[in-house]
Amino acid sequence: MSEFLEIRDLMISAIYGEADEEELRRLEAGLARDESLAEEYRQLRATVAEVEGADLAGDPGKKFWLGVWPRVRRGLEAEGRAEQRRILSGRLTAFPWRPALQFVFVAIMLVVGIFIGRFLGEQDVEPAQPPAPSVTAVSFPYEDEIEAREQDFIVDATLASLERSESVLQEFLDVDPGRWGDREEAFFSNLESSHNLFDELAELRGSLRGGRYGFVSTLLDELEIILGDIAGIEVDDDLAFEIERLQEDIADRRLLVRIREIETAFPESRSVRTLPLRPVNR
Amino acid sequence: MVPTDAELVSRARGNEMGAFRQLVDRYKRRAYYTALGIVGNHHDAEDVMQESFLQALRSLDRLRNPGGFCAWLLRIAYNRSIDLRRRRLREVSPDGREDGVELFDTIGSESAENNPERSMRSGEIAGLVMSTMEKLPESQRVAFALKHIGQLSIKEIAAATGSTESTTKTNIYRAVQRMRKVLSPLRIQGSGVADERVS
Repeated sequence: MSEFLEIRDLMISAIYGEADEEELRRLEAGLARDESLAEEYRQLRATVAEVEGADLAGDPGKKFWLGVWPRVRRGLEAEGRAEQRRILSGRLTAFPWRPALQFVFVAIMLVVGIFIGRFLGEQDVEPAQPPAPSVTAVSFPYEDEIEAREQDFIVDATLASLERSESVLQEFLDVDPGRWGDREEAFFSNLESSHNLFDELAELRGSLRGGRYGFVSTLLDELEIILGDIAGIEVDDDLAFEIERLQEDIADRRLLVRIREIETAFPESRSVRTLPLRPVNR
Repeated sequence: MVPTDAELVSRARGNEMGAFRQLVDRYKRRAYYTALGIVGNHHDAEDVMQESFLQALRSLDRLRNPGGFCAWLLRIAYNRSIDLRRRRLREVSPDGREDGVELFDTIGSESAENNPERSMRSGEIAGLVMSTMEKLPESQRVAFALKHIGQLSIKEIAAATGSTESTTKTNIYRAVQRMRKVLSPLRIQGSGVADERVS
């Protein structure tokens, strides 16, 4: 390799921070010998700095990254099922009596079909029913009540989600940051549950209406952030630190205490109420 | 203790879902950005990433060096991305010519290239870089994109593209030179970007 080509390769390695000490020394020596190469190096560095300063790729967002594993897992499961079907169908194909069995099956179905047809033919035919009277549109008097009950269902669903969030957070708080691997499957199952709740709470928060649920919405909002962070945990060198940080965050926000306060404020299921006997006055 | 790739691959071969998950979490960003660097748009990159993981995970038994999972995955993502890009090019340009065809979701536009003094904002630089990238020969475009969008090391790019490190450096060098020509009119004098130090 010529000296120019070698220096050029070294320039690229150095610009991207991939040159070792020895290579950097050789590059410095080469640039000291040739001012035009030194100038080119400065220009290339400036260009790369500009390109790196511009956000070429963008970030698709937290929700996207959280969804990668669930999508891949669904794909793996679907492939597993397809593989099982393929193996099963291969076994059936390999069965030497298959064409004969198909013939027998078709013959049996024909006989059964004829038998059913004859049996039905002997039954009395019911006389035709008169056409149903046309329905006139009327105002529905329970509209307000139905809307109120919809909200009750949402509150119930929220309470159920909060109950599950409480146990997921409690399980997470019980994890020893340095020894998460001791109960690895349980740990990942906790991340999975956090992911499901993350999706669920976002929908519920959008459905809760009315000022009186403001404090519930605020809590759901904070839970969504924490559960999203838990679900997004990645196994790397900072994992223990990340677990500890989130555990502190959960404690600082008093999430478990606040969930229990809400559970106390709505002690009974609201959606089991019956409709009033009289229509609501409008 | 964070498990190594070789440990995770070995456990994943035993169909352990936790190991699959850790491999996916560890490399999802690199797979996504590798694909994005070549296909140029989010939806295709997402599809390539997912399909690459499925292909890699279902054929783990064929991976001879379990510690080389990352390079193997990136190679799969690279091949799938190149296939998809060629398919997309055939859709928009049936004769297969790349001239004038832009697959990237560019932020900027041709007008930015013609009027470089207009703005120095990073969005416009990004647009200019993207549109210039589309005009580069494939080997240079891929090497540059995998470096700047895929954030791969030179060694990883060489492994993914089946090339040598020296050829990869040459391709990146030529692409950066082209960028330099396009961006130089935009450069603000004395911006402090240039640095005389080597490291």
